[in-house]
Amino acid sequence: MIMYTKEVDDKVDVDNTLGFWGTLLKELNIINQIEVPFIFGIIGALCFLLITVFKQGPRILNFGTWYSTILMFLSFLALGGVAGIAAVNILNSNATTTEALVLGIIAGLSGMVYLERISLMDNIGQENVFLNAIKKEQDFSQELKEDLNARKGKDDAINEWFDYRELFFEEQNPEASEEEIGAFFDKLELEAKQIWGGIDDE
Amino acid sequence: MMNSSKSTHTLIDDLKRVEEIQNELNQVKNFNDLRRLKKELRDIKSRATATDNTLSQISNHRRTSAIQKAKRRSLVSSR
Repeated sequence: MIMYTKEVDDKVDVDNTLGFWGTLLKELNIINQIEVPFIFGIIGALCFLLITVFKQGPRILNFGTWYSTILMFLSFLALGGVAGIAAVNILNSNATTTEALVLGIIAGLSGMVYLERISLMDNIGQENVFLNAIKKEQDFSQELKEDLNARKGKDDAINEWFDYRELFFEEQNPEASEEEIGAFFDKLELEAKQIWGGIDDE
Repeated sequence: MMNSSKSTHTLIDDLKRVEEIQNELNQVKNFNDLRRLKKELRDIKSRATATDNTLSQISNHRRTSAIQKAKRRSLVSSR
């Protein structure tokens, strides 16, 4: 077991005194490969937003509610930052600060497009998400329609039953007083509860 | 003779709207439209639940109209 561990360690050349994160941090030029491209990627994304606002007006940034607007705004900036990091590390991982800065801004300007173009996936995944969301709403609308139809059918049946009973009562008691009508409805309600039992429990 | 209550009328409107939404769902192209339709469906659902026509509601509604009818009749006969 000891032999195996040593063999693996030799192969990947990990400095055991630093560990995985230590080695990663030692290998990375944090400033030029992470910080500068991320910050200037965000600045690039901000520039893109400003250009869009100048061209299409501030309403373009309205996503309905204030929290969804803020969430979309921050997500867009984060995309710009990530695109900046990706651009610097793919195109020129030994970039100087100036090169990292320029690459970060350029990639951040259209971070979403850049990340989509360099990714190895197609947009089938996104389409599936959209189609699934539509399917979910279609199922929900079908259930809702059946529910509304059932409610309507129940209401119609109850109303029809009341219609017949009221008509019969009116014919039998054309000069009924308010008290008589009240008593009739008390009786009718009790009878209806026996027939349509459980409706009130919904 | 069929006295449809106000809530039943809303139910019919909601049913029609749900059918329209089902057609729109077949042609929806982006998430914004989908979100709008989803919200509308949820609104209809909550409205249907809120205005649930219980037996007592129907009975009360009909009792009130029958009493008003009797009042009008007694007014006419007293004249």
